[in-house]
Amino acid sequence: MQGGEPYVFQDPHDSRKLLGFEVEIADALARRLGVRAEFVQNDWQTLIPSLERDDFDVILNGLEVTPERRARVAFTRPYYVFTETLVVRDDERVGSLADLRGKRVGTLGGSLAHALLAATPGVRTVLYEGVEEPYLDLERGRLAGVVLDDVIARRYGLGRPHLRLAATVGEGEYAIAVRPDHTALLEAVDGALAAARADGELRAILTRWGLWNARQEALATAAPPAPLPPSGSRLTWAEVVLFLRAAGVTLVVSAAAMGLAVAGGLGLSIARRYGARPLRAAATAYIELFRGTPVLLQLYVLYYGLAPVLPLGAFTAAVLGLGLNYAAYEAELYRAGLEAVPGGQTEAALALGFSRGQALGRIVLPQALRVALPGIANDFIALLKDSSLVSVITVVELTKQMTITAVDLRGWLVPGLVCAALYLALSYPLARLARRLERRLAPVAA
Amino acid sequence: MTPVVALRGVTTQLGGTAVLRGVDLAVDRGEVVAVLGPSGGGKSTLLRAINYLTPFHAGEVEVAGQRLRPGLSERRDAALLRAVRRRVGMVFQHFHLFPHLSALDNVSAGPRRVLGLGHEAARARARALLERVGLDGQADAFPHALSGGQQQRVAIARALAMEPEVLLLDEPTSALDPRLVGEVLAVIADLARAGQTMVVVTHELGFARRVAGRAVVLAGGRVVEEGPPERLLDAPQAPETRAFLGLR
Repeated sequence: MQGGEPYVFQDPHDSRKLLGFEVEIADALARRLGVRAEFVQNDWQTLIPSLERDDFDVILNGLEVTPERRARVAFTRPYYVFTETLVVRDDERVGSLADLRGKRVGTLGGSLAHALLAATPGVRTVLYEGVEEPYLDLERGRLAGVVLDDVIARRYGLGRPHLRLAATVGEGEYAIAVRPDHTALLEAVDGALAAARADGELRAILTRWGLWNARQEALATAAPPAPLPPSGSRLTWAEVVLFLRAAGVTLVVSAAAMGLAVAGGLGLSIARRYGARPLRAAATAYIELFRGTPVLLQLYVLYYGLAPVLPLGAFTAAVLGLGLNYAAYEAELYRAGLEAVPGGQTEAALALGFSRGQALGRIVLPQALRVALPGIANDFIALLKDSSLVSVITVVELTKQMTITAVDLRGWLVPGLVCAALYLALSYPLARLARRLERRLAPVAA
Repeated sequence: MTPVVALRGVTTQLGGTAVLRGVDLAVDRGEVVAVLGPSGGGKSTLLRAINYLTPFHAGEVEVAGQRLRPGLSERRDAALLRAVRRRVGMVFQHFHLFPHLSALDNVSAGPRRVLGLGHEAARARARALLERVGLDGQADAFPHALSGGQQQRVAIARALAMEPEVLLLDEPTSALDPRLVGEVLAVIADLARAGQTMVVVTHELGFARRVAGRAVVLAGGRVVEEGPPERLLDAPQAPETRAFLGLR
């Protein structure tokens, strides 16, 4: 289970303990059923596929009841009624979603709010994987609004000084989900939930977490939603177009980042080999820092961490983050290449009267490049795939598009295969090109 | 006549050990000087001091109208060093041809990049030089496709392309199969006849006798004997020369 405060989160004073209103609901239901609730960590967006894989028996984690989900899982009666809230900066005159036509609006990928925004014409939806980041970006002006469940908005958005509630744009229910064939489990959990509602325990829990309101009174009469028959789902032409566009994003981000990495790596390796002592030390420190820390972390720091002083666009941050990271690796490839060129080559060039720069540029580098080239081509292919990481800073590239489509289609196989085919279509020609270059520039025995 | 190359009291050290211990040597225009002596005697170091590929620690070198002194820096004194090197040709024991360039481009690289000749002019000069060393058919070949003897002849053409005032040859045939030595020595003898000033470090005593006007024996970092090659080889005076020649 993942969701953070106030749903489920780690007790800051005891890392083994979980807190949250959903933890208390789960414990209350378990006690009534004579079992013990055991919590499993899972990505929120893939809760349903994991349930289908039997990674756990029950989903109790802010899962909104939607027709798509009702066709896939069996829901108990709801345990919470939420609203979809639009949060904006307090200096903006926005009263409804319609006011945000043409603007960027953030939400959580795969959520009901995401579906709501997708159905609103003219709004540019920006997808996040965490609940805090959209509000951070709203504060900094990267977004014009954020639509998320009121529970999230109250905890993460409305506490911020310059944000305000603009409108309530929808309503929905959280319910507990089990596999459709687990009918006995469904009945047991639903029965326990009905009892907890009837005797006031649910109300007590929600009140304790400050979540009780008039809307929750309706829960007293709500019944479990009836399951819908699974509907067939096929990849539509519009989705194929989205895939192609995402493949384009992947290619452009990767190519731009690789350009940066190749140039930056060259500068680093030359600074390291020929520079004065402080320059050498700086280049070495750079390489160790960027090689020794995860690129994911670097992307977060670049996009969110530096935002107060350097508010980069998501695309720029993606190119910069991947490029700066790969530059460290390219520098090492060039270094190996430079070291493979015998010292006699430089001497022969200097003896002819070449300047040091000419000896490097005309004689040493071309030979070093031949040695480094296969590795560089290999890194480009690796970068193409690593570029999927930039989805954490809201860039919708190929892998992200795959997860979005998979949620829409309620299946991972077809989007996964399409996604894989597109990656191959990008990387295979690259591999061929690299091999051809390698042959043409084949290193020759000195 | 002022000498083309003059070394005065040149001393070099390598890790605290003296390699050259105060060497004096003057080479006149058109002269061919053979440098002989046992391995480790400082022959290569002497040659490399002339174009400052190996720095020296005391003394001075006058070459091509420039004065080199100890403590020059590749970075700070780049202009002086380039001025010297563009007029001093060097041929290495292991050729050091540029493997990514054809024979023609190896030879035309210097005139193009250093002398600033146009593309066509540089190639024309290179072509003529390849013909002179007997390789006009190999202009487009890359070094790896050439025999050792051919590679060394390209390397000689590369050095000549700068029209050097003096050509330094560092054991030019030591890395070659015996059957390939002749073709390289023939090219060098040809240059000597044409009046090219040269300093040749060599173990080919017969060649030194035939081609050099003067021989210098370097042992223990000092010039122990110098004179006409016949005299030096037939009637050596210094004990180091006698030892080197295998005489008692």
